[in-house]
Amino acid sequence: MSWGAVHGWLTSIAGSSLPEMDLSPPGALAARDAALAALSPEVLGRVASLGGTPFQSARFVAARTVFTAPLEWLAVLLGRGTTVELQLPSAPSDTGRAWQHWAQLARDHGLPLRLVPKGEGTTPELLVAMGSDDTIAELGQRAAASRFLGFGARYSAAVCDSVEDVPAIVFDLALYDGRGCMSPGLVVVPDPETLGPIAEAFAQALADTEVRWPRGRLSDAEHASIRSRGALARVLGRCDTGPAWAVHQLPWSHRSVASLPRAPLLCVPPDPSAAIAALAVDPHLSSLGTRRAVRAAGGGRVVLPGTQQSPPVERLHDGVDWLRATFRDGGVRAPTPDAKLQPGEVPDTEAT
Amino acid sequence: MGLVDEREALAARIRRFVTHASGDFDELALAVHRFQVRHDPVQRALAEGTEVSGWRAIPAVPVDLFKDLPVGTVGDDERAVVFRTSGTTQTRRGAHRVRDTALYDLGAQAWHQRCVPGAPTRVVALLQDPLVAPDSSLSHMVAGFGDVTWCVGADGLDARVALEALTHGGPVYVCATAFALAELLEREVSPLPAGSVVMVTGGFKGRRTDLSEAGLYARIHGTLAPERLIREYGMTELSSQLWAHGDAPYRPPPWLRPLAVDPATGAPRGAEAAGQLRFVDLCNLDSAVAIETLDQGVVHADGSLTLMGRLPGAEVRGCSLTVEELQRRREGR
Repeated sequence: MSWGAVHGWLTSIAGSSLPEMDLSPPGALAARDAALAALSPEVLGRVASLGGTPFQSARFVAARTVFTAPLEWLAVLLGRGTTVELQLPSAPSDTGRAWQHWAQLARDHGLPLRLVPKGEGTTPELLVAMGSDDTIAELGQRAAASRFLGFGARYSAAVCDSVEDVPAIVFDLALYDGRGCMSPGLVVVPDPETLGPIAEAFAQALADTEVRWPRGRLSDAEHASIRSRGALARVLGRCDTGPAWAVHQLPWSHRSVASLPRAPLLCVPPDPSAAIAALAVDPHLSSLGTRRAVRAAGGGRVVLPGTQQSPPVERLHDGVDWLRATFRDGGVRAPTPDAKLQPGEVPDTEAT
Repeated sequence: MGLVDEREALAARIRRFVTHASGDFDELALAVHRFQVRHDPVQRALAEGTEVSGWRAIPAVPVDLFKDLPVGTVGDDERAVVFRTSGTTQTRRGAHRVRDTALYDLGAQAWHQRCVPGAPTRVVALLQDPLVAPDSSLSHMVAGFGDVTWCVGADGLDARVALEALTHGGPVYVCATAFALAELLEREVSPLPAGSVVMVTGGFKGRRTDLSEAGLYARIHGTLAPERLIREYGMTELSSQLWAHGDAPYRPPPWLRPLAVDPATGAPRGAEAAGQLRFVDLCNLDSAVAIETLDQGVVHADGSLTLMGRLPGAEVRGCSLTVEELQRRREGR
């Protein structure tokens, strides 16, 4: 067990500067700090108390965008004494930039973490991969590990019942500049009467966020996608834009789950309750941010707005009981994930 | 003047421009734009509040909008020829609606003859027969090149038909997508008869292959040994095409002008600067005279175009789901 070294490592990460990234410097710091906040000594203490036989070796294949996602997995694996190979994306990415530095810090604390290029390294007992569907499918086909945990692409959405919800939703969609599966690209506005004020509030909140936490660099394709959906919104709905943000309004029939950087899509469903319930049980959902009491199923999480990007360590990861699945003798699937409220989920009290 | 008369008057001016280089491009492009704004709600909405002073300033319709909206002046209830972008029946396909193909055919054939003079009229097309795929603009164009043997069926490339057509007779004009040619070259293929021409269009978008474009061209030269290797750049949403010989930049016809813009703002960039590509195509009379693609390239001072493929960064989504991926999952593919 190496929990002490893990705490030291995480403290070093918190105290170190970040390399230049596509995210703006304040944006990158906010992302890092949100991830570290979930890995408190109390939480890791509870994780350490779980019984099970750790794997001797593991490989973690990281996605390109959300560079903090590997933190929780590696903290747990390294804390249990598993030797970890981290495979970074081959193309330049924020994940690669951050982890070149963080892996060195881990080694400085005596943790057995090694960066390995694709196609190299040992055959691990446990293979964990996050990324696009194609990447996961390819890895799954040729995985020689005794256990393979692959997490493909998902999407997130949020429900905005009033202008009071807006700052929290903007926090969730601005973190990581809208990249990654926990960013709510689609915002459901149940009451059409509130759409106008809510759109104005989004514009204001995005403008405010831009001042304290500027949007980072976007790819040309991201810029083009924002302008393209903006054109669609000008024809079918409404498009408001600022220097580094946009608010798109479209009919529900033209909704999209694609999260574009700092460009939320607001849609009013014809039957809000049914639409929200359908989102909550969509097997492709990562998280739904809402103050409503909604039952989740299919692996997605239902959480309060403002916490979509800060998943608790003790949760199901896309329906997988990951804290136990990373034990040699642990089960992969949650016992009955379909019918139970999940960690972080809003208690099922009266509907609002 | 009603829509039909107005359209016919503009079509006549465009025909004169194509056949006799008569008229001013800028003036004609603006006239077509104004016509489209009057009769197409989509372009009217996009043009709202903008002042259009020249062809570069015409609000371009992003190609994705052809998937979501009926772009153009041909109503849903009117007779039309519809060309569609590739895809399955379940995924969203862009639709380019035209009243008839007269302008399309005039422009496509005229520029093809100028760019590929003397091409053999015995054509082997690694494409679907337009009788089977009437919504393929590429097949429609190639059908006008001569006596065509079509070699792609519902199940893909029929290599037996292709190889037989290639080995019998004199010079042949092979018209193919890059992917179909790559597939054919996996077979045992003999060099083409003297005087043959190979036309390649498209890249490997959405396909998994280890072959690069340069690698494909090398294999074409090495295996098929055509007298000429020609590249074509066209899009379903365009009525006109660009052609290139060897490694040279693509040449647009006089009635089509490419423009590189800043992907962030849409502002035009100058000659020799890379940017997101727009095209202003006078022959797009029934749809949108200006379209914006997801490709990037450099427009040279002489108006020619060096294509640089898709805009970079489409793949940086990480674990975030795209619409296409979601659709694919729902279809269980």
